[in-house]
Amino acid sequence: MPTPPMPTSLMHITMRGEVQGIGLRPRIKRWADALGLQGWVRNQGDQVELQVSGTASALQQLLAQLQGPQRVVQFARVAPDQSDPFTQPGFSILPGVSMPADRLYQVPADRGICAACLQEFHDIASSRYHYPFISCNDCGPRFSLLTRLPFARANTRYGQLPPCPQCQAEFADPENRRFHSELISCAGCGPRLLLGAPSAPGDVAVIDAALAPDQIVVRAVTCLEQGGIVAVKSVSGMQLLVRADAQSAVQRLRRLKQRPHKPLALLVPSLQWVEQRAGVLFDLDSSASRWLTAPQRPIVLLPKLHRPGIDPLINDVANAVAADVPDLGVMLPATALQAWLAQAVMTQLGVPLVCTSANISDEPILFRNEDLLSRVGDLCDLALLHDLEIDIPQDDSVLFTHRGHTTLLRRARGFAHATFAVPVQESVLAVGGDLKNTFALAQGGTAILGPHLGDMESVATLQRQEFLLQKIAGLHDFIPNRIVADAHPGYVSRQRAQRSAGNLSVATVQHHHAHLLANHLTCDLPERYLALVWDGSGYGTDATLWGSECFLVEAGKVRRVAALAPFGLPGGVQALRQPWRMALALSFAANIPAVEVIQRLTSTTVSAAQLNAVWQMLENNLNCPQSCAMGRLFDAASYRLLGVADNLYEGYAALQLQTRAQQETIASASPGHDSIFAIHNLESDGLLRGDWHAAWRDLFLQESVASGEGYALAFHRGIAQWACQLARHFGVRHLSLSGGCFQNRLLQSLLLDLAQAERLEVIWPDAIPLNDGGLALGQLLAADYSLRNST
Amino acid sequence: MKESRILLTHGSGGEATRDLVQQLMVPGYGNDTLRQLTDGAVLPRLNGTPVFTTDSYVITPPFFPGGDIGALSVMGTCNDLAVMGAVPRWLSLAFILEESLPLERLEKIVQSIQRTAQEAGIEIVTGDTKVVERGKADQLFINTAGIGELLQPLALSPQRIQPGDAMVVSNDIGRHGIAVLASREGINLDVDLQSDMALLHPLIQALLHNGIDLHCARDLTRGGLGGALLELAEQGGRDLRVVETAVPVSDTVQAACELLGFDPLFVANEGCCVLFLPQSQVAEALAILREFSAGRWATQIGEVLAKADQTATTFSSTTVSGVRLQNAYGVERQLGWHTVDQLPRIC
Repeated sequence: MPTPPMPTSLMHITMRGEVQGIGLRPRIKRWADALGLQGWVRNQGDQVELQVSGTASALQQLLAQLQGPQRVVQFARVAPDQSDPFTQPGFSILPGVSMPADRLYQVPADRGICAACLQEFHDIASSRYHYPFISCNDCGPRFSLLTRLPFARANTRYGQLPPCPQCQAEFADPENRRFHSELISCAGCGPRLLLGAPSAPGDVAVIDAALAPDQIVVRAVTCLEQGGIVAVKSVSGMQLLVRADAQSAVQRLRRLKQRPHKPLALLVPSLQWVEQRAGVLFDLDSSASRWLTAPQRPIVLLPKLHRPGIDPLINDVANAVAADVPDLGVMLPATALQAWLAQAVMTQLGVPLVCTSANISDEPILFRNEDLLSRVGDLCDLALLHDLEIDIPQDDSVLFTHRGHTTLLRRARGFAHATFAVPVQESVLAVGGDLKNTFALAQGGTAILGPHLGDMESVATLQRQEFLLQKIAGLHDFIPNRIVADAHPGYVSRQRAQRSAGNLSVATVQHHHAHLLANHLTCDLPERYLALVWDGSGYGTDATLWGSECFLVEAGKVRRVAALAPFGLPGGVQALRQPWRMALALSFAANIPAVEVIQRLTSTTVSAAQLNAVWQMLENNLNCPQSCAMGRLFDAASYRLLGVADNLYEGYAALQLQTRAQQETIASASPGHDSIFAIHNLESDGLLRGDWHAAWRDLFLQESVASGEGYALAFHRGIAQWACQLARHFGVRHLSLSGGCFQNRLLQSLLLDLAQAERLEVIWPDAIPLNDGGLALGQLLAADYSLRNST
Repeated sequence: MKESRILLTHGSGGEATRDLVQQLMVPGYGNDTLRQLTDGAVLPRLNGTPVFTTDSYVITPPFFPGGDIGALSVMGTCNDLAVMGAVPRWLSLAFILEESLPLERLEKIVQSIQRTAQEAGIEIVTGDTKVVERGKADQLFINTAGIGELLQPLALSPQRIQPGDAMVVSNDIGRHGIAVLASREGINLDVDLQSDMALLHPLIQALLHNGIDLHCARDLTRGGLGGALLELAEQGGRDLRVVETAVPVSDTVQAACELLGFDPLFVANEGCCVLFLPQSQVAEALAILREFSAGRWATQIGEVLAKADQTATTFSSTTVSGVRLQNAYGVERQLGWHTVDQLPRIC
């Protein structure tokens, strides 16, 4: 080794952001060595700290290399300190140290298997050939296995598995791809793949420890070939696999999971498979491709194409996978085992797999071996497990891309580790909403939004929230001194918070206000803008159910300035489940005569007697809570135009309407193509009310409406136009969007088109969901920030 | 009594009042104590511990399928005593009448009170009548207070609920609320539905008399079964698990609830109670209950869990107890406190 040049400068550098769990320290070591620099690097809390000395130009070069898109690099020149115990020749990686928890730390994310590891995995000459837990500095589990910070082997479940001498040698070798790879392991020292199967049909499943991975995979593929359901313990939870081409097998999976209708996603072996079908089965844009291969490995929803006569060899997906929806969900393998199974099934059977979380519908994802083993037989036929415990169970994340925008529908694995900067210093816990629940923590100007949990009415989900809260709060030594919940008095999340808060105060935040604040935190918004929060329903400050809210944000103040004219929800929660009630309620509010309404709305699924009784409820105002939620307008139109009488799952009727309208955009000759569902603004008590009565009367009374042709699109266009009308009325150039209604790809398109013409900017977050999955983040702010509702 | 309607003078305390009481009420439900028309009733000593309760009755409409406000005002108070484990003995009865209430209606109510008191074996020993101006009341309000007697040493109480106890409902739920609502709103439910009004102490006394170790009972009134269970879980500090499919609900009530958007668990009852008793005595208790017409559909609906959920104590030492509903697939959901108007919480 040549003599290092005389140190001319000593620098202390800290790096924050996406800096751990991505092999940054070994890379820094290589750069420093190449530049002939001396010093050390180490993980410190959630940051990387380094002290380095060398020539000014070498230091400059190092600084340039340290810059990265997800990193904040701070550096300071410091005086040489001869007493620094770390000062020794060369550049070394020191053991990580913890830091006092004055804020919440960025936690390293689970990363889907990288191309290099995948290649090694399939290479028969490699020492990790068919080793299911292969990982490196670029990929592998992180967040889901963490028990403490900072990210180091000893602080994960791998701490129980000492590396073998071979792995140790690779770990210490700066030339090796796995130099300082914390979770380095091989078949000799790593976790073991286990098969859980009943020893005789009908028996309780037991673990068979004698089988080698190859044998286990053969068993699994045979089971899948026969249409069986195989459960696989993945990075952050159990998943169920079944061959995607077998209608009856998929239907059986739906039955066992008690998920009769909601679409399922595919696990496909490669991007190539997706690309081969792009333009035939579905559309694929470049951002969707990027997400498919991104380390987060989310499920990406690809818009289905409706082309007749598709080659059956290309269409190897059974109808039961994703019927009646405009999109098909696709994901690429996140682990070597998923890749192995997907590849083997593709090679041997020529079909992709359906992949879904292992749980009963409405319950949280299973993640413990014993919980899954006890379900073999009634949820799956075979279980592929391993002997590492999962600490932070998470579902797969779901998103779609459209015209360059990413819309996150479910934020979980790969995303849920990240921190947000928030203007909140004290320790606050926000418990989120009741549906698509996530919780959020804030402390010292940073916040963490927990992974997707689900419906809080389920006891198991409630317990999972407690479990994850303890785990994640434990990672950060977080103890709240304030709790925030939704203002809905009936929300289980709120009641639970209030009843378990002890001495802590529980503040409540209006639902749509929290939505707007979540956008405020995660989007680049100007001083003055309009925030549209359109969703299915949320408790308003006047004790009615809001959901077409328009807030004007200016000078740090928020004012509710517009909403739709209200209507009744006949039968309360039933009105949300049965869109025909909404068609009736809107007709009642729009003063269409009862005879006409009942005659036109009677169908094979909804009788005149039912309609009459519900009409009576509207007349008597019996159990008809008032609402102005946009989602309900979609429901009403969906029944009137398409006869969708039941919301088979949340948003189903609106999704049907969207699908129909998208078909109409293609068939431009539709009779209703030029018509529009025109909403007019009326001033009422200082609030602008979007008056939809005349528009509904037009839509309702159209003669040709029976076929639904043209009007589904006209309806969407009317809704988009109202958004722009509001922007014009209040003279803003920026629209911030949130709420489930804006997850509608067509509405996004129409809005983007209109905005372009009117030189408006429409903005929605890509880091959090538009639905209630992002609510908790906004709740945090309302607890401690001047941006409050001033009305 | 020349006037066929109640006048303000009927409540003045003068002659008209005396006439009303003498001619209508005393003949109706009079007994030796009441006939003395003294300022208070002098009651004999009881052998057992006395139990005392009161309740006010305001219901629209006052006559509904299966009953009226008069019968209700006796039964409701008797049932409050019954679920304490007491035998009803004496009742006070106070009317607040709206000016212009037809006398004929009052007469019917008085007759109904008489019949019910007789059936209950309770003596009406003191009373009061006031009249308010038209519009100040909805026809009539009634307040009753009752004294009952415990024949056993301990009253029934949520504190006596034990882990492992069985939960039994005495009859199918929801009939009163739906019957009253349908008749008030004039909604044609196309069914013949009657209130479930019934006296509960015969059932409860039969259980006690036959050696059933009853721990707790609660009559299911305004908040329905759900409201009662939530209260009991909190008061008893226990987690309760209810098997949703076991809860007896008639097809008629179920269909009406689906149409109206109500949860039968939160619909009012007037002749139904939930009972907590040792699991080992369930079969025997059900056999006794089913002997009564008010216990025909008595069913075990769930059990008391070992202890309230301790995992809820992340950030405080408060123990959260609650009610879990288990559906047909074994999935449990937390029963929430419904807001008065059952505002939807789903999106």
